[in-house]
Amino acid sequence: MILEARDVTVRYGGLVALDGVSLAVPDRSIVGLIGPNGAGKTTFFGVLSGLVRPRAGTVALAGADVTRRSPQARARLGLARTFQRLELFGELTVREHVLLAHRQGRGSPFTRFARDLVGLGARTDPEEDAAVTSVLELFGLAAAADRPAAALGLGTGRLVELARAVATRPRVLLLDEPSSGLDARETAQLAEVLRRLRDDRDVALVLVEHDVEMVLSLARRVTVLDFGQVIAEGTPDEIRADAAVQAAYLGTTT
Amino acid sequence: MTLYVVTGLVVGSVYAIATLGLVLTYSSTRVFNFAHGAIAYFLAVVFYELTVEHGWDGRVAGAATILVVSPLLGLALWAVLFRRLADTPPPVRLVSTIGLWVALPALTRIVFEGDRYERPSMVFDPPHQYRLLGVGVDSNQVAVVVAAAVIAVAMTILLRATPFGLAVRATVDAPRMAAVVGVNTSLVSAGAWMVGTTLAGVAGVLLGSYRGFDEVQFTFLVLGSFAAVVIARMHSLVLAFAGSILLGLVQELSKSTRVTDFLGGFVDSQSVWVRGLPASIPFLVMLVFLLAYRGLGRERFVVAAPAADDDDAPPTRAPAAWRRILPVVCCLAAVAVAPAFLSGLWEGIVAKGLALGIVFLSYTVVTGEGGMISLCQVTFAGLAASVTADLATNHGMDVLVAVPLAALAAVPIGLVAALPSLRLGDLYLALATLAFAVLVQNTFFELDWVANDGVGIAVPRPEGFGDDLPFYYLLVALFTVTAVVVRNLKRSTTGLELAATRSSEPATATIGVSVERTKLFAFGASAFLAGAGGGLYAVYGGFADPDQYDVLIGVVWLAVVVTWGVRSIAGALLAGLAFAVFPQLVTEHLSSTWRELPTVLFGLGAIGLAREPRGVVHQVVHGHRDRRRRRVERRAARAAVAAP
Amino acid sequence: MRRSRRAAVLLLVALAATAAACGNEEDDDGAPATTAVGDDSAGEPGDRFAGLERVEAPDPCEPDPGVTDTEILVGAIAIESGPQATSFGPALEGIRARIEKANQEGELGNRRITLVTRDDTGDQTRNAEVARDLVEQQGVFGIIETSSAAAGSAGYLHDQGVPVAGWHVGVPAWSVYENMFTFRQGTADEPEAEYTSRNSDLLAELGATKVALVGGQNQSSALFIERVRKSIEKLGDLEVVYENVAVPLDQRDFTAEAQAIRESGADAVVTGMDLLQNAALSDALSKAGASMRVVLFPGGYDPRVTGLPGMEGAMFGLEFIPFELDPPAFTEFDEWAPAEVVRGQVPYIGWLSAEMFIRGLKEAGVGCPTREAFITNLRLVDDYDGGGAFEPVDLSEGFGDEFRCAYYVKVEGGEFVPQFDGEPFCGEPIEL
Repeated sequence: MILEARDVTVRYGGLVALDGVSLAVPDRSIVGLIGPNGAGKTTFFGVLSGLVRPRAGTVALAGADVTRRSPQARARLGLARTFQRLELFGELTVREHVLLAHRQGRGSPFTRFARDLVGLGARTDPEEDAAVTSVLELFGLAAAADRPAAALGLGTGRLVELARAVATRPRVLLLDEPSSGLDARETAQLAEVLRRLRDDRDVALVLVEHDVEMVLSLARRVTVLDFGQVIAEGTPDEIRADAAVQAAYLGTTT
Repeated sequence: MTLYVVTGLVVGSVYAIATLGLVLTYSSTRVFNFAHGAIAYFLAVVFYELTVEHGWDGRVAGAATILVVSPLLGLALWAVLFRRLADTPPPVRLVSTIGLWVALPALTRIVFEGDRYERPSMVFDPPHQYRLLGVGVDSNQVAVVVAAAVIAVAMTILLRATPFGLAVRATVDAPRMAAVVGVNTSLVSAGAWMVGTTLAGVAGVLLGSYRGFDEVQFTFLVLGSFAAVVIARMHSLVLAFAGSILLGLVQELSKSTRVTDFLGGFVDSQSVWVRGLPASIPFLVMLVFLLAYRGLGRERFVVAAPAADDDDAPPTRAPAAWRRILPVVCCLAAVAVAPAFLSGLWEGIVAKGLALGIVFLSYTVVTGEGGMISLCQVTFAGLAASVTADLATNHGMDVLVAVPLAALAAVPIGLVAALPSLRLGDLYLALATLAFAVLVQNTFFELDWVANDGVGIAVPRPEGFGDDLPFYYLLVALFTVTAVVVRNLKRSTTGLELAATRSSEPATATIGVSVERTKLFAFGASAFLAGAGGGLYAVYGGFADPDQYDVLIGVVWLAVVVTWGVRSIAGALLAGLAFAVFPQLVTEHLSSTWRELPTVLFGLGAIGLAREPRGVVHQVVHGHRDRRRRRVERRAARAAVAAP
Repeated sequence: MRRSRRAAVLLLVALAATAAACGNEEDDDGAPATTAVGDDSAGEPGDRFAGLERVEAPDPCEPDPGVTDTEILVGAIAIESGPQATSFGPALEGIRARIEKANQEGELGNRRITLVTRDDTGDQTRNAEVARDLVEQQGVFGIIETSSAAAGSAGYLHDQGVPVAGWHVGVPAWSVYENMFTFRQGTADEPEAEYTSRNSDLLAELGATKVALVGGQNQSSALFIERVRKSIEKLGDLEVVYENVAVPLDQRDFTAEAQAIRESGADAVVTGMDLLQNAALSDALSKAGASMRVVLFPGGYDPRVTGLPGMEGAMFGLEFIPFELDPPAFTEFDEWAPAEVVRGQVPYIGWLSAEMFIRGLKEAGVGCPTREAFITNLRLVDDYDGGGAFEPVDLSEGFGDEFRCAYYVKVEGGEFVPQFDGEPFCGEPIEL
């Protein structure tokens, strides 16, 4: 397991947002997390990425306990994520998003700061250029590379977030509703990109989605949340057939 | 002990009156009105003029000031300034009210000249005497306590139990929703501001009668009352009232012999640490609460939603590198050839402007790049200036070595000042830096060897740079070097990290950047720059005088640099030159009546930010591009509509 | 500052040379020294100007900068903007009035004084800049200065040999540079080491035994209180029973302090804060039922303040004869100052500053005034009385000491009442 969460519980005052939620993500797999609105999916991602502190439970990344560790620390250990509401760096160009992410974890920040002061910080070397270009091309962003993020449409913006996350060379990537706001064509494109990601790069994906069909077609295993609790877990076929899931969520029987 | 409780109650009520208006304004408009005290002062002076200069009866004058002049002033300020602030990012709002804080007292001095010694009262004139718990109090003091309680209750009722209050709360939380539901948001917003200034009027009249109508009163009162606003977390009237009373009690109790004896066991009672304590209490309390309320005030300012389907439009090119540095290069070139036209005096003044330019580059780093509003840059400048002077004069060090060393010494101080920034949003951080600056001013700047009876410590010119022209070019060179370093920083990975932190801290953290370390770097670097500039400023003048590094001067500095453009190096340079040059131009060419003009202009400049948040330089350089783009867009929109 | 060191060496040589030339009092070889004579490292005060001799006007006349056949250009530096402007600004009115009189009455022969004013905003660096402006760009002959920031330009003006007259405002530079003439006498040139016994003598004279000292938390105020305390300790007869130098600048409610002072048993209070604070303290004292034999303020001579609560019974020293005794200088001031100018300390001191400057011009010789003659000859005046404003003082003796004598007034019944029959009360210079 590259990422494992056990018995995560989160309370906001008297409200229980998550109650004993567990999730296991095998290496190089795609795991889906679905559930109705307000089920706690984004909160769970918050716990996984370190932006939310759980009342109870543990999170382990590549076997190491990261429950108490900061988002930065988890990022350095190989955890990346995208956000439901775009969190782009408005003034930075697409290329700069990728470049910045790529440069993390290389060298001591103090020597880098010193080099920055004397003017060596802006230069890129061929190896860095190649890495950045390959990420941009993976997501079809080469044409838009020099546009500031604030000027992008939603679809492109989502791709930039993905590119930024991938540029940190993560072992596991959390995707929070990446198809939200995209039309059918864009969603299909996205699904294709995600498949390529899983195949070309050594990364596991955890996918939170409203588009249930997309998840069921991509993921190897799916977990279903409702009211902060896991109500079902299994392969996509098992989930499709599960009565509890249908009752809570799908609404119709196939 | 009862004595201090009674006096503490009175002092606390004073703070409460000042604070409640500010809290009410914030909770009804989301604008922290730094100029609240300046408005109270203006209205207090109006009351004074009506009673003392025009002989009106105290009650009539009070009613006229509070019920007529104050709301009208509020309406005027809303129309001219506050109305525009609703859609601007929090830092712009902050700096705009700071601009008003700078400009208004100067305007008050221009309009109403002269000393104000008397204390006319709206209540009883002369005051009646009473005894409360064995302590002698007069009717002004009682009025203050009663008024504070009444205001607290009245404002709470207003906000919670009236339709107006409901409309105000709806408007501030969700203006578009409120408008949809039929609330006239403009009217409501104007009304909220008018209530706010009316409270300022009450504060001005009551507190003037009680404490005096001179400017000093209101400046310090305002600063101290910020502590209670912090305790109230900006929006709770109840906590504001309780916090104010607490503040008053602590401040008065600190005078009791038990406390002074206790302190006397550790520190000499004449030392700055004891001398500065009562004056520092509000700011110590402020810092304590800021640190306790960690994670405060990260107001999410939602960037306008991206334009849909923009992907097909041709990519706009970022301006070429040469265009970006063009303004700076032009300015520096002009500065380099200027001595051909300048007298010795003017060479000195421009050199001073360059030294200030280096200080303002510190704002470019911490505010422009780091996105943090710091009101203690002036403190770093002053600290380094005093250290430079001490090293050079008392320890015989070469001045050109002393300046960078002193600047380096400012860095750890900067890091300490930065610690609250790691967990606080814009406004709270600004207040924390303000508190820090005041504390240093009350202690370090009052040390005997630093203050030296109001003269400061002498600083010699560097060997060979004593004359005007060599010193001028020395400063041109130093500014250029500093500017190059800042530019390197902006374009480097650190610059990218700062830009990222500015835009989205959560996202920055999740790509592995330490937001804390980035902010500390920014503060540390800015402390160095401010220190270097401060040291050079002292070298220019020939002495390090702590009075020149007063907190309020730092506020004016912020206003000036933000006006010209806090994101650009050209902005810092022009700000420094403007600050140095204007006063001399005014005193040489304009009559006495215009003397306050530089201050007024600096303040108005910051207010003007509401129109162009990126400052004058941006407006001039990029303005034509923005206007051209807007024209193109409008034409395209019209064409799209017209096409069948 | 290498230039001043060089100048000092030259002057010492010049001194030696003149002494060697057998002290001929009528010596007028017309060779100007670079600046006025004076040994910078004085031993006894007064010795500093021991060898000083009168300088006669050059013949033929070689006018110094700022002097033409019809005009003498004089600069004035005052605080005209910023928070201190309300306190210091009115001095300009007094200066203008005195100059108007001089011009109208032809006190300077064919020449009229033209005044060029500059605002230094109370900032030392600006003070230095506007001084340079006046000297180099405007070309003034000399400067009248009433700013608290005078230390900024003091060194420069000394090096340029520019005569300066004005108000010392407690700044030691006026007692260090011989080209600077405060309108009467200045403060000690080393405030931390020297003072006067006047305050402690006064307290003793008025029957005080236990003294309370109250000052603001800023260093200048704390220093003042420290000097007073040390002078009291030197005297030995008085005891300091309460000392508080922690008062914030904006405090106006002294209920707590008044109680503490009453409990300390003090019968005299000396305050070093701003006037409104001093009055508020005094007011609180009477409300607390503390009766004081002496309530001593550093200043406050302004008709607008006599009625303020807390002013009744307050006593303070003036550096000139109180108006209530109709000194000649005040009569003139009253006549020449426009009606709206307050008849108080600040404009009057402006008048006296200009008076000093005009006297300097007269001493230099109305026919052909030179800076050197101004500085030297005025310094030699040993009976200067400000045009009838105070007892005659010797302008070279006591230079560098805290001024010894002051005229005391007390507020009684809403009026200023001169004390000691209008005679100055004097102390001696003391080491702290």
